[in-house]
Amino acid sequence: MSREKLLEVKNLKTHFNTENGRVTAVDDVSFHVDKGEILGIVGESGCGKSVTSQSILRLFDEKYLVKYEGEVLFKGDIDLLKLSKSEMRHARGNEISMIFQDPLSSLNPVLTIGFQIAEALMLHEKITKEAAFEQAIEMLKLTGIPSPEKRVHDYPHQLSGGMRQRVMIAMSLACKPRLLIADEPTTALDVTIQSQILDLIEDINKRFDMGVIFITHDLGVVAGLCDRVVVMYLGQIVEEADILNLFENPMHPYTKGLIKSIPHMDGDRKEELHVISGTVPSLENVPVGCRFAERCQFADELCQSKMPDLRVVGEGQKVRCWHAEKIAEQEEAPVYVTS
Amino acid sequence: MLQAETEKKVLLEVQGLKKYFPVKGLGMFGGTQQYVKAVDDVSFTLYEGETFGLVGESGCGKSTTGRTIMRLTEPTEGKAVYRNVDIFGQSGKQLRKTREEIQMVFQDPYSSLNPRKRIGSTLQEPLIVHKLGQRKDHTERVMDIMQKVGLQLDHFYRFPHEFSGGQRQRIGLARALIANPKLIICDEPVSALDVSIQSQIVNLLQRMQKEFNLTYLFIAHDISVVRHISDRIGVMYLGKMVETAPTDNLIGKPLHPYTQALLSAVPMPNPRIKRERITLKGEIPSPLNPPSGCVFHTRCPFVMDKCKTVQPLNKEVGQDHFVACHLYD
Repeated sequence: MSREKLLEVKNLKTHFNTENGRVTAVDDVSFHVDKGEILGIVGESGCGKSVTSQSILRLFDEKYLVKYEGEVLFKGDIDLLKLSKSEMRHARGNEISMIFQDPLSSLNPVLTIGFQIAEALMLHEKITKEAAFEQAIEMLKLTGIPSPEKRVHDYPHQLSGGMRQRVMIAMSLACKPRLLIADEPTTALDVTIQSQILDLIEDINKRFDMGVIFITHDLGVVAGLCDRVVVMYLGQIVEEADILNLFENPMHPYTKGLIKSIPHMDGDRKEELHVISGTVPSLENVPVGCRFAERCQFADELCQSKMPDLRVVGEGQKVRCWHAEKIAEQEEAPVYVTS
Repeated sequence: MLQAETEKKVLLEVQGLKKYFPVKGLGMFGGTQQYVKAVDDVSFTLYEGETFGLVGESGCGKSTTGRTIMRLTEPTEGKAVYRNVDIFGQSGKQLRKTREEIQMVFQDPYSSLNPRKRIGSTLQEPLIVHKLGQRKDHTERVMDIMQKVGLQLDHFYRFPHEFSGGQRQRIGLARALIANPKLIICDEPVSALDVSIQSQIVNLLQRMQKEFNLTYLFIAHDISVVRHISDRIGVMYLGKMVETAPTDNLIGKPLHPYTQALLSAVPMPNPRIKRERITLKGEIPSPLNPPSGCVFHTRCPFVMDKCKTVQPLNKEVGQDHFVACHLYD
């Protein structure tokens, strides 16, 4: 069962310098991704899921804006946070690559897509321009773009949203990375196009035995794609579980609330939806105790005053809650009627 | 249940609605004026007190349909009969009166609120515009509605930027409710919100519907939300209504191949269900140059020769279940 760890994030903290002082957007986050595994990071806006992924690739301005703490171990012993600028540049795109939510703003509008894919290849591998274009066509074919020989000469504005995302994926795969970070890659797409892109990601994950970190707010997408899931809330991991446990035996009240509050296609329409009361507090004044306490129906004095640790509660399942077991006894886990 | 259906009162009837946007720039040598057929011959009926969901992917014309009913854009052709009067023939005072009764909630509440106005005065505006009630009672009326939608009274003096997305959507709903409308057109009201906030707003919409006996035209692309809130659903594709049916029929027994594909693509939050996705080939064709015959024939898995030339008509195939597809001829 024990698979090779591809990436291990240990006690990562990402601090931002803002006008109102220092804000810790990612606070003591630890998780790992195995080879060939799809890990989901789930959470609502502002929970730190995107900042976590961008911290792995060190995409923020380190001179003024951001300060990292902790370790990001790649392939066991390379700490990405300690690499020099040029070493990091070598790793990006070559070993670890990333795709974003909005493909149009991550593509250069004045260069053909063929050139943009070939550029990545020419940067990281010593090959000729012709050979790089050759491979670019190969990559486009792989991602299911029709008549790639013609498409390489297209500019981003000539393509639709789904096609652009395929180009982004082709580009990120060009150097055969070991890890792909996908930050909400399908959020801006329509459902039928989304399902095409999800199929594609699943396919390349299997074909190249590539690790994938899939960041999303959509639990439906997670259920169909991921092997393991990390749930984040206000900069912290509140629960980690494999996909079946997450949906059938969620331990954290926030995870439970999230799962219950989405309308199910087979749910009772007469019933009101479950509601998590209140809103996410601001990062500038995080609660002293459990960060979810003020929205949690089970919170007591302990929760208000002391922050719980992320602790192991079962096979591969971790939760950051003082009362997880007690709550589990009190209420049954959501039951699904399979149609 | 059946009896209740026969007693349903028609509130709004949209007949053959068309909205063509002319494409600018004919080029140096003239030529024929081209049109984007955003909405092309769409008909549906809204009954009093019900919610009609309108789903479809981006560019299918669902938002344009909603905006045209409000006359935010002028229709090219067709009728929208609201309580026996065609809205498209109205002007001036009459139109203002209709707009008092039909209100709209938008996707992004931030850009639909004036950033320089306090919430209180934004909410009072409809009362002033439509000359409702006495000026001195306005504040009280606003406070009343604010409380109903779950805002606190001290929010009266705040500005839009001081609110979170969910609260702004509450304000958007309060603004729509204040003039005491009969029909609210909700254009993607929860799409920009996080899941935990989304459920708050969906519940609020349903509660307000019961309390004020409202009719909703609920436009959204998220099918699970639409299914939850709607009594009947219409599915649009490339400016056409391809299928209309009561919610449970449409979800349980979708007839149009597009509806089937759309439903199968909805991600299910249950890891044990490995859905057989019907993956559609290709993408939505350009509405500038829609396919001949059935607009869906370029992507349809069941395409026949007939589909390429003959436009399918909207037929009733079951109780209140309409579909436009040659498979059911």
